[in-house]
Amino acid sequence: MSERARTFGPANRLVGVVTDPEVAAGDRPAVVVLGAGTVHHVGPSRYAVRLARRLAARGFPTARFDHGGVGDSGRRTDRLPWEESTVRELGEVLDDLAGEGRERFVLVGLCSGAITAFRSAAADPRVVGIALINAQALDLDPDWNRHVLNRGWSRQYWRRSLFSADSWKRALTGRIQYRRLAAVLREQVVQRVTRARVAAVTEDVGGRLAGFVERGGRALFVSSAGDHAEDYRELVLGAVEDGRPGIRSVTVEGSDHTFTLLHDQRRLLDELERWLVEGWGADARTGPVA
Amino acid sequence: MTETASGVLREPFTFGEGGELYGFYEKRAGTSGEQGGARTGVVICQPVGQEGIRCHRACRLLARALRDAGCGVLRFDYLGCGDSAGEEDDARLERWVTDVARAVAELRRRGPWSRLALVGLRLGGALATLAAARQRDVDRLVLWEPALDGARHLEELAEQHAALTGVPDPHECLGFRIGAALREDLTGLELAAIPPAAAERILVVEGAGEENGAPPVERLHVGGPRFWLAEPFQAVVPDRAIRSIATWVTEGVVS
Repeated sequence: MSERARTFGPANRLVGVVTDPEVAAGDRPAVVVLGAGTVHHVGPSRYAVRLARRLAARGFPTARFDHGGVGDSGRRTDRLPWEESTVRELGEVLDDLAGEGRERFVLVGLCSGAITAFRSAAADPRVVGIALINAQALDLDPDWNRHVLNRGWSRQYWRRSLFSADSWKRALTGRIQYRRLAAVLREQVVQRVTRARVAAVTEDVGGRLAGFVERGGRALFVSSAGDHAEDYRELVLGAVEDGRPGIRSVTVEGSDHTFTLLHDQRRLLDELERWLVEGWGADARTGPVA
Repeated sequence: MTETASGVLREPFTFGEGGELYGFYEKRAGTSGEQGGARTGVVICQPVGQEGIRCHRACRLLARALRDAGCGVLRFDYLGCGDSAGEEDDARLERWVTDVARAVAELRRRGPWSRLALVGLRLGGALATLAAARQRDVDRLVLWEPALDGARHLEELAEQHAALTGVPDPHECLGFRIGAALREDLTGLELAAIPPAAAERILVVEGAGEENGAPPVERLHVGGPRFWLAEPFQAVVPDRAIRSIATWVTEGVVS
């Protein structure tokens, strides 16, 4: 395995690291790990570095980089909104990697990185796989997102709180967020006003996912149990034909949003490695992930 | 090396044996001692583990402030940290001190410099101190919220881990392993007094007073949140500390 620091983009403004396997294993796609929020390119708890080195041992080249203004990358000087600038910057990274001979790419995105990965997959035919880790806000429509989040909070309150002694204790001691609870209940009353809009956005997001897998793409959804990503996943996959091949969904119990702890991170990396090896060829030396 | 439209030179690179260390170097084009004033080279010694993740932005902004004040600035990752090779418990404290020396050598290669400064944040402060005391050619040393007592630092790491999990773990702090050898090293780290030979001038930047009577140490108390405990998305930036460090390194005065 070898690693090299490099810049990307026409102005060499973006900074990242490319990890090349010691032995190139067939025609493996290059894996690009997208930034998570404001964490620099090593990823939350350095997961992107550990993932890259694991994948290198499996013959997958990887790249990780910082979007403009994050980590070591320079700031943008235009006023392009985040959701557009990140997609454009990812395209520049893919262009540069294509210049090194890489033709196909798998995108791995956690949190905000998952949004960028999803948006890019629909538009860039070079993307053959997307791993969306705790993905929320796959569309930025505010009504749709409010609907999904309220569904999630509602489920928490009605399924857990009513049957939780701790929740009753918190209610009696004043620690319940009454404002949020009131907002959730109010939202459920007025929900029918936006129901058509929510359905339209859900259908659109599901359609984009369906279109991606129809052209041969593979998608992996990894969600932490209890994370709002579960609500988004449930809604979006509900809009896609049941049992559609090419889509895998995994829930990891007990992990926080960014898989902070070593134990949780290992489980995340295991799932990612398994999905990649199964999707793009078993390792000639060691065989599939157990 | 890339030069931006605004005249900034920036370069990510690898150095050290076999290129095992990741570094990032930046300066303003035209930074030169011939134009008057001292030409200062700065190595920033970052925290490790989760504190390193949380403080990355603060270190980047400090580097920018120093760069814009006319310095050449090198940030880097120790062995087992960030983008550098290995895992954190692959390294011993002594190895990390050696990595600081390697970074200084790399910075010198990009000179010449009329003044050399080290800025160490949290455990990076201890590493910078040990490296500076060994090298004896550091002009200015800044210790920023330094973790100079290794046993106390281990307690702080345990508290940080317990804040998420409810229980401390002697072998891990929030996704980063603490190996037995590293734990032993940290337990034995105790810089009760900063070696006066560490640098010509020393500045300690901290929020809470700590008694340390080793002259000639200048002290600057800054307020604000303990940014090394804030998650990156909270974007907590220690502006005053950054400005003050940049001013002290380049002009020698505390602002």
